[in-house]
Amino acid sequence: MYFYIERDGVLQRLHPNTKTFALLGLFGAALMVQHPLWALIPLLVALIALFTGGGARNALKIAPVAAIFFAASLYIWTFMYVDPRATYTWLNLGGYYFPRETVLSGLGMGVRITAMLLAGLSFLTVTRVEDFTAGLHRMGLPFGMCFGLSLSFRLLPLFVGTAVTISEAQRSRGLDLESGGPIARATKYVPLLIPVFISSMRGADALSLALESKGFGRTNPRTYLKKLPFGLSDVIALTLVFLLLAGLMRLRMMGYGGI
Amino acid sequence: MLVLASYTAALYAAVVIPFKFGLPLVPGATEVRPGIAVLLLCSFLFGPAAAWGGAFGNLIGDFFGGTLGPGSFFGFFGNFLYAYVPYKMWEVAGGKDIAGRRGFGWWWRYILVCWASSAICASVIAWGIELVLGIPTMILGGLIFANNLFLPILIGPALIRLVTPRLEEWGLTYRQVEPDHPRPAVLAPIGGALIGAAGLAAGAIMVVGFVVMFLPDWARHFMGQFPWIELLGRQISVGKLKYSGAMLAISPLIVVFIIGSFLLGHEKSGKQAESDSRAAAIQGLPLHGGKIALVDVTFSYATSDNPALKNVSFSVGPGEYVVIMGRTGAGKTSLTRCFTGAIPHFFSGRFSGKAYLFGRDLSQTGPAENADLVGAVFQDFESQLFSTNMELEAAFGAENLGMPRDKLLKAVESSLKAVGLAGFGNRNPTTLSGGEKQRLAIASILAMNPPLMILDEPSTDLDPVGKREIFDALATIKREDRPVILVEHEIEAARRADRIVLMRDGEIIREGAPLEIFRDPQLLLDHGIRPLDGVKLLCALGDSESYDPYGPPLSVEEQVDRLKQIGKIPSSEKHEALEEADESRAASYGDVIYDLRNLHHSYGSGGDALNGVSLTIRKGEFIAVLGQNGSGKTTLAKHLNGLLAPTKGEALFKGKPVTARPLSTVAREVGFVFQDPDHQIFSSTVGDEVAFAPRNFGLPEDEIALRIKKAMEFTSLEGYEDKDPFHLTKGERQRVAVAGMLAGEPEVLILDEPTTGLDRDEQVRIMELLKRLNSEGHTIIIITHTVWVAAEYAHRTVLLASGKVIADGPTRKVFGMDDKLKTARVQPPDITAIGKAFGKVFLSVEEYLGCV
Repeated sequence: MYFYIERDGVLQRLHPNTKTFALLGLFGAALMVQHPLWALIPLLVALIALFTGGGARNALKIAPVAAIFFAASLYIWTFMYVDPRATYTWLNLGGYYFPRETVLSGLGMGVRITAMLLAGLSFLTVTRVEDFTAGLHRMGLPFGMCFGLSLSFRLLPLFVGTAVTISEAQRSRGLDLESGGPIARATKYVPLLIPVFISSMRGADALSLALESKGFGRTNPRTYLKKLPFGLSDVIALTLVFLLLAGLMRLRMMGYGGI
Repeated sequence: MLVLASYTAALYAAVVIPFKFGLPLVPGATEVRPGIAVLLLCSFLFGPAAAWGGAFGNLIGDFFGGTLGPGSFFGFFGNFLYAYVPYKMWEVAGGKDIAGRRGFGWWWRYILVCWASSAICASVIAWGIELVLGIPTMILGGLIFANNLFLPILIGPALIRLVTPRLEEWGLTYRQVEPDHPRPAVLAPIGGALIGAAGLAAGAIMVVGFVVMFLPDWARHFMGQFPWIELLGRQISVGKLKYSGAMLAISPLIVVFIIGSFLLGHEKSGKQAESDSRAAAIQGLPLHGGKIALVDVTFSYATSDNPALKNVSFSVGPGEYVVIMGRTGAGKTSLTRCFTGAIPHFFSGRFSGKAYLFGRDLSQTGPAENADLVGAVFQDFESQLFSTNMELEAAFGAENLGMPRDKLLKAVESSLKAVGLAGFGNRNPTTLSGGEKQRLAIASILAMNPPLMILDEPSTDLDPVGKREIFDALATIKREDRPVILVEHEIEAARRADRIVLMRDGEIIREGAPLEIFRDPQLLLDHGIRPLDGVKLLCALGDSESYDPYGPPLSVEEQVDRLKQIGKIPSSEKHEALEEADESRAASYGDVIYDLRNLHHSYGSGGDALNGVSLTIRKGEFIAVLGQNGSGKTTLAKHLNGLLAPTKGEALFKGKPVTARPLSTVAREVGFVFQDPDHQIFSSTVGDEVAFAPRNFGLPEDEIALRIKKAMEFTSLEGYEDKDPFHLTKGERQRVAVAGMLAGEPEVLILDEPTTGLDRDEQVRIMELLKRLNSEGHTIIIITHTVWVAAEYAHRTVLLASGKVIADGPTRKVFGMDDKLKTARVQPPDITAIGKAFGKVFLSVEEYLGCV
């Protein structure tokens, strides 16, 4: 279920907070430009990060999702809006006229969304969950909150497995989720949701006791096994992201990147 | 509360993503996700924990879906508010017990709460997504609002009615976990009113805006007479930027939502928590001679009138290995809980007597404070693992104790090595087997270096390989100075004990060395423990002279020697008669009902789970499918009712492919009971639970009533019709699951691990039930790790290894194939090993007795 690729890569070795800030930087870069050709810059950077991190197969996994987002964005901006700044017709498809600005807006938005999706995916490819939560704690978030998030990551695959098993068990008793109208089909989920809920929550008490039994919540200062070194490669990575953002911002101010 | 938040997050993500069905409105995009009702339910049950849970759940959903992006921030915030608003607004609106009586008052409050929380969630998410990604607010907002409003209204009340009482019994609701939680103060109703009003407006905007987009031209022309409606769908310039009219209309409402949420959170504080007082109490406690002891302890849980412990006095000496045994409900776990401080600090109830841990008076310290002195491992290994990384998991407890990092590194390395998990690197515990997970839990405790270790049924839910791994690990955790207390059903674990303690009904009945306890098989049977086959056999043969002064022979070799000494060698003629009986039974079965031909199944990555399985099953057979974890047993079973389809080859049921018919139709002829009965039980009464399958089949109510009666009589559940299934023991719930299957009157019954997690008496009860069903003509197929169950009940055994059938035939014949059993890593019962010493294969002590 995880996208993380285990390897001793340069991106995998970066501090998790470096990766978090780099991700935010890439989001910012993608949002800064509107023209599809300019939006290719953050897209390419995200792709480079993804492939450097070994995430080629992850890209294949989410390709359908990315395609849907791209197509939906293109459709919405091209077909649903009349841009008041429209100058001249760029496309004429069977009587439907598409101004230049409308088509470029749609394409641009599609490329930007794809860039952000790939940036997020590259983050997931090179960042372990436990490093991410440890990084949040180093940033100053309370340990309890970070631990709670980390625990959720630990529990999710377990609960998904339970949900799948319960679905099989109830279908084996004749529960037919495919037939009926929307209301009938929705109510058929009650025999699924209840056992998932109850089975999952049964462990809550036991987990709480196990946590306390391991000293969670004691007042003495806590120590940490994991060290998160911040090195030269982190400085370089952050500098590159800063240059990208600053560069795009400057170009926007000079009038480039828009439609 | 932290645990509840994490559970909410994981549960929410686990149900929202997979449980969905499509609506043809916008093909591929509009989906109904009923799981959203779970988040609303969590809000009413867990209060603020659910708000954080909803927020985290959305975030981790994006992590696992690969859709982490700027929208994740708004999803985080929106879901936080979706779960924050309901429980607060319910109180502010004067709502009482959410699971109580439903009149008009209940319903208008419930719908108001659903509307407001759906509107706030949809507004925040859709507004944010349009801000950064440009997708119009009324598209996404309308869809989210409709899903989040209608699904909780439709199915939420049923969930609340069925789930709330159970959670309240377990003491897991917010009001029980934090009885002194803050209450709404003066400004809260104003906040509620603001949210309610803004919610009504926002919801209306999103619904109208969404609908308008899909109207035909004539309708739009009509709508043109209401310009403000048309504006919702239009793009409006704001400086150099363009946004939809709906987004701009919702913007001020979001400000109102934020202000309203702050005001709604205006509370009167409850009492200060006493979290620090107990920890401080450790300092300067008088010691009582360093002893580990319970002195005259009596304890009753708050939810029960019967005492779980009655005047128990018990102590443990340095380096002593004590095994506590007894039936389910005997008080074993309760006894160990006294040593960690869980009783009475974690489990409330009526406590009297004294408990000491290395002299520390446990009346003043709870589990967290005692973690430096006692390490505890529990039955449910999944509930003891908190990390997504093995090394971090092993270090977790020691980190909490503040162990210096250099010591921590060494402790983690040595503890993983001690349990045989060295070299696993940074693996995610999710990828480990059950036995490996439990060993990791033990490693985590070992790294803390506690002076006392307690293991409470660590092997109950494991397969035989996992059990052996745990028992081997136990050998390494014993130290000269470190006492170990083990609670177990398995006699194998007790062989190496210094002392065995037998408990019943909260009292210690007998204590003694293993040799002293094992010599009396009836004593063990009286306490729900399966005695050693060899000892049971020798006792039945009247041989007790060998038991003084050294006790009975405990190993198979010694037992064989003893049988030779007393001249109780089994007769070859009588053994041949057993074999002939097997053959004539095999010839008496009916027509072929299953024909599996070169069956392959692959899950996509890492090879075939089934690798060319071919076998036939005839009507009336009783088959056990044996093999270790990962051998393909469950995968094979799921082909028999159509849950899985072959990736190659055929699975035919009565001549036709199993998957040629819908699963709901196959279910009328093939019943499947899963390992954990809690994966099926959801109704509020046993009667309704048993009626589930026949109701799905569309049978008339009088027929259903008849089938319920018959099924419950057969499973000895008469009188249980109106009981809550979750009030029953695990064995009783297993019988409810079987009754539920029987009510469908299937011809074939498939049961996955029907005896796992049950004590011996419950195991025998279930198996006798299946034996009766088989004698009435049902075909029974069980997947099991419990070899004595296969030996004593199954007529035929199929042995799987690496997805292939390596042996298939009468159980006696298969249990005689030593090489095949070794390949499959299946160890036959002791009685079989004893018989082989004489060239015979016996499947039970009774068979051997019949041959002498």
